[in-house]
Amino acid sequence: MAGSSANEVNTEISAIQADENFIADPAITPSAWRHVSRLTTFLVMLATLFVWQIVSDLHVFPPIALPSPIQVWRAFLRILLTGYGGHSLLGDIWVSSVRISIGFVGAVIIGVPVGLMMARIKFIFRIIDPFLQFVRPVPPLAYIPLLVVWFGIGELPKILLILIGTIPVIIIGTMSGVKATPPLRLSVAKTLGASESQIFRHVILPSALPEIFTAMRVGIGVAWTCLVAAELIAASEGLGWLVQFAGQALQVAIVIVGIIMIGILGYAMELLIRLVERWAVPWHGKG
Amino acid sequence: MPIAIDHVSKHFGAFKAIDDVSLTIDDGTFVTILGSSGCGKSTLLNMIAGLLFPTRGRLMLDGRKVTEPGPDRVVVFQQPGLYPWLSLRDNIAFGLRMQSSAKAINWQRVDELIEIIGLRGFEQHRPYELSGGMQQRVAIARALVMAPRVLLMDEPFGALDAQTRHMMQQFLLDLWDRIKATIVFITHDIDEAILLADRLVVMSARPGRIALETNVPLERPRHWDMSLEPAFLALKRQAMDILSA
Ligand SMILES: Nc1ncnc2c1ncn2[C@@H]1O[C@H](COP(=O)(O)OP(=O)(O)OP(=O)(O)O)[C@@H](O)[C@H]1O
Ligand SMILES: [Mg+2]
Repeated sequence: MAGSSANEVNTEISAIQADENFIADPAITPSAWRHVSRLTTFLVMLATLFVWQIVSDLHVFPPIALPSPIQVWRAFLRILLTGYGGHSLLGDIWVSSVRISIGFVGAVIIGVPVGLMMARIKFIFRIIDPFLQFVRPVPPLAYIPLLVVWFGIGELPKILLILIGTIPVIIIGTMSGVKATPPLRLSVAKTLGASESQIFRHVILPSALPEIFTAMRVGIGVAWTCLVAAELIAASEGLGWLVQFAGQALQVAIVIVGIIMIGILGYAMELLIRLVERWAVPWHGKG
Repeated sequence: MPIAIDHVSKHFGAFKAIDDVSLTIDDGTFVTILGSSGCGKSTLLNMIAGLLFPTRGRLMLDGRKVTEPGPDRVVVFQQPGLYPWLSLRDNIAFGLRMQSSAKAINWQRVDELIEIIGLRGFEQHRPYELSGGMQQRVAIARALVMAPRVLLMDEPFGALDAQTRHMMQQFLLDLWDRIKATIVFITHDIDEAILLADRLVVMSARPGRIALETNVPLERPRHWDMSLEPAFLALKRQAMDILSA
């Protein structure tokens, strides 16, 4: 029964688990160790900020190239309250969030059914697979110039780029989820009199769910990368645009604010998917 | 009507897993098939189940050739194979659910079986919240709820510790006294094979063949004490000789 989920390698989750289960000193209980480990993370972050502040105070680099954390914090407050380049920070966050939501949800809505059909119907596999094999090795960013020429710098090219980058990830994850259904689960259903379509709906689909969610977690990262890249090159608002626009004006503090926002938002989206996953696939890693 | 296995062979490529096996299993009999690992027991059982098909020979059920699996021949596999997204209760009802809508399911029968396997109070637990022995009992209940004519069991207690194993054997014996289905039970444990069976089949390996087919001359109801009776020991000696040959 361990089947499908056992061979999924999720580096991030296993890293966290390894961290929590790792007991260096047998005298320290696991929960005590967890406290120590949390504290370590916090201290390292604090120390990094501290060193950063000192380095910029000492003017090792020109202040324009390396603003101090305090200056970055001030820049954050300024663009949060008064905006920058005609947009408020929240506005840019909102625009980027809407774009990625539409693109990513679209990719899942298209990718999962296509992956299911490709795994189930050879004919459909043969039609779609060549396109998939062609699109996959091309970094999605290479499509940006083409999309700009065809569709300008509106919303459509950005969403298309997210789709191009994310759909293959979702399709491939879905297909491998279907293929990884443990044979025992299939035999059980067959001997209990389930029809082919019942087996698909009641056994294969739920068995594939953990891998579909893993693909979604990978996919949201890809989607975010695609979006920010598209905004960097061809946009008039959004976090990618903010970073690019501030960079051209040598407003490095704002660039850093933008980068931190991009990081926080990307992480938040991954967390959101993990939350949904825990709700939808509570058996993941236990089945 | 019986299960008739008629000169059946099963080859995997050039490898002969089963070679010319003939065996008739009458309705309501408890048959155990004993054999060492790799002698083709599962292959034989899967052919009766309709999950595999003979390379040569015929396999008939009620005078009809076995062409597909069916809920009249439910299998309990060596691993429980429960569905982790379903509760214990829904796992047991899975086969019924495949035959009818959720509303039409006879939930009373499901709950009776939960009572019988001693898991009342665990209805809403997920499989991964149960011990191995509990899971295997659920797998048995999931099969029994179909009221199958034939119950095929592939080393169902193989993964359990000795204590739980004894408990489950007694449970199965008591249960069989009530349901009187045909049971084909595979094992590589000699004591288990003799204790449970009306009829004992011993297989030899490479190629898989039937080396011994005999009645078990013990009274019912059975109990573990009987493993010290002379008739039990004589049969055990005979089976051991075949397995170690
Ligand atoms: N699909 C297959 N392809 C090739 N060889 C197979 C296949 N299934 C089984 N065999 C071979 O057939 C032989 C019998 O296998 P089988 O699973 O029936 O053994 P078994 O008696 O059930 O053993 P165990 O007690 O270990 O479960 C083995 O040697 C195995 O390698
Ligand atoms: Mg076997």
